[in-house]
Formats: sequence, structure tokens, C-alpha cells
Amino acid sequence: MKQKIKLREIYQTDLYARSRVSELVKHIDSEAKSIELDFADVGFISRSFSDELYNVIEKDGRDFSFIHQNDEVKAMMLMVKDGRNKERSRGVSNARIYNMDSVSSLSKYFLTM
Amino acid sequence: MQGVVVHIPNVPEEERIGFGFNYLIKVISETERCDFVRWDFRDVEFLHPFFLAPLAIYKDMSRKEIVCVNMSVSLRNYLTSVSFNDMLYFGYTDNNGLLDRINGYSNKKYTPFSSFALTDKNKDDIYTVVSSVILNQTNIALRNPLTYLISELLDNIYEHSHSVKGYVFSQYLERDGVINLCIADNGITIYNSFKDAMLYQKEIDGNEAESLKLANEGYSTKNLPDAENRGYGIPTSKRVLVDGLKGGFFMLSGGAFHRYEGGHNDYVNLGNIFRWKGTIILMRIPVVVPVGFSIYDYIE
Repeated sequence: MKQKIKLREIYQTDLYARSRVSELVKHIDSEAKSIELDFADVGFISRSFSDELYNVIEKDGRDFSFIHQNDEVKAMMLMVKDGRNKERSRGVSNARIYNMDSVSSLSKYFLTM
Repeated sequence: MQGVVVHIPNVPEEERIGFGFNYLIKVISETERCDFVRWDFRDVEFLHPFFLAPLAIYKDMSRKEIVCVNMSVSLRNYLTSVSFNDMLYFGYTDNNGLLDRINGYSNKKYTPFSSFALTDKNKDDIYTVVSSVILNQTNIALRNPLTYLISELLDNIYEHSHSVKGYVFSQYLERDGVINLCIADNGITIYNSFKDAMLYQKEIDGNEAESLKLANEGYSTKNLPDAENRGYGIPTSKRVLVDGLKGGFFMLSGGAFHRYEGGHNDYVNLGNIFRWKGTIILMRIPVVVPVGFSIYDYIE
């Protein structure tokens, strides 16, 4: 049996907070063979929400499908999914660390801004 | 009652950001000297958002009795309209009245100072109201990047700060063509979030600026055991804002400061000079979006 979940019945139009994915988990039927997530009227999904969603999906192990994703939601979810399979690359940092030891030195630094 | 009088300087719209930070440190340092303080606004005609926002948040967080005196009528009216003295507070109960009130700012160039309890119950309210009000004040091209910034940085507060309250404020300065957005918490600071998690302690080695650098480079306290799946919020938000939109990103957390703008990528240990209780992020967001801009070129 495929369970169909309309996300707008759980959430508002934009999916922001990572921890809110737990609300979806409460709606997933443990007896379902597969789950279809309907993104109709979902306007935005954050990177954090997408990542947590994939955490849930991977941990669950069943087949999850998505329908009615708009272009932005689809792009974000694809990007997050691809990123999870890649080794993270940070490149060379060009950061500089300054240690201030007086009010005047800090003031001089701020005046460069 | 004995107390101190602290002079609040005029910080006009065209003032450089660094002047505002210098004034802020001076005002807070002087205020810290006594439990009863009068902030004297006699010389103030305008307060740049990067000075005003930390000042308001400090006042809200402080246990001191701070009385504001000698305000001009126009200044008093402005500070009342932005809820400087009485921030809107999204608490643990029904926030519908507040939601209606903040939605009334859609046609203004600023949002009022708003603080919020960090509960699951009001998360959606905070995100939706803050982003919708700010977005209604700007153009459609900014929708995606602004929503991205707000969602990632607000979520960080909930996930990492261990704080009681979060804060948000925004103001559009037409002269500069920028939205100045402030998101803050009164939590444990980035340094202490790594310390509590007992992660990267060798790399940080007691250096708060180093901890800020690690957080900004995407090192997280909450990765999965065998994957680096977290820590993308801050670095990608900065890339969107600064590399993509040519804005500015400033962060103050505990005894460390970070500047990412105009080719600068600086982390500053403030030593014993100044400490901020919690973490505050100030962003300068240009309202004109470069042609061909896409957030997907800057996030991973």
C-alpha cells in the first residue's frame, strides 16, 4: 500500500525549520509499503529542511516519491541530495585572524570598515 | 538613585559601519559600569540600523534599569514605531494578535524589533511572518535569497544557540539601496557550542575567533556519525549574500567578531575589551539583484 501525504496539510507554504521534519514523521504510516510526498502549494524548502528530510528517508529505508514540486523546491532538494553523496570540499581559506589587545587597536580596526 | 548618564551619539545613515561599532562598544562599556543608567539621546537625529539593532537587543537582554532621556519628538516617534523600548514578543501562547500587528508593517521600510521564545510551536509563525513582511517591503527578485538567508540563520538559533530568546529587526535604507537585517540570540555563543559538544577543541584551543572561523567554514557540532551533512547554513548564506549579491556579513559572538565583505574575511579576537552575550548577525543586503543571479550558484 502506498501512503500519500499532502505536506500542506501538515505545514504552511514554506518549509523552513529542520526540526519541523519530525511533524512529518508522526504522519508516516508504519504499515505503508511506500510513501508519496505531495508538495502541491509548497513554495519554498530550506536547505536544512531538505537535508533533514533525506535523513528521515534514509533512516526509514522505504521508497519515498515526490510529486508537484515547483522548480525551486525541486532544485533545492536535488542539490541537497547530490551534496550528501559528495565529499565536502572547502578549498583554501583566505581568512585572517586578528588579536586585539587594546581599545585603540580595536577602534582602528573598526575604522577600516 | 546614583547612576550614570551615557551619551548616545548621532549615527547617521551615511556613517561608515565601523564608526557604529566603535560607538556601540563605548556605549555598552559605559553602561556596564552601573545598574541604573540614563541613555541621553539629545544629539541623536538618526541611528544607523547596525548601531540601533545591537543597542536595542542589549537593552532588552540587560538586567540594568536603562532609561532613555532627551529624545526629540521625531526620534521618540520613530523609536516607538520600531518598538525599541517594548519589543514585540512572540511567546509560548497564541500569537495571533502579534502576527496581525507585525503584518501591518508590510508597507513600511522596516520591521519592528521582535523577540521570540524558541519553541517548536512558534517556529512557523516566526519564519513566515518575518520573511513575508520583509519580502513585502522589497522586490520579487530578492525573494529566494532573502528567504534562504532568513531560514538558515533563524534555524541556527533554534538548533545551536541554547538560548531563551531570538531577535530579529530589519530596515531598508533607500539612500544606500540596502536592507539591513539583524538576527540575534542570547545564547551560549559559538565558542561555547563547540566547547559543550567537545568538538574541535584542539583546533580552537581557547581561541574564540578560531571557533567563529570554524563555524563560518561549515564545521558543525551536529553532523551524522559518518557524514559531514551539517554546517552549510552560515557559509552558504554568506556566499549568497556577499559573493552573489555583493552585500556584507558581520557576526559578533562572545569575544569574537567576523567581517565578510568587500574582499575582507576577518576574524577578530576582542580580548578583554568587549564581550557580547550571545550571537548577533548583521547583514547588509543590496536590493538590486545582479542580472542572472541564482542562489544555486552559491550554495551546495
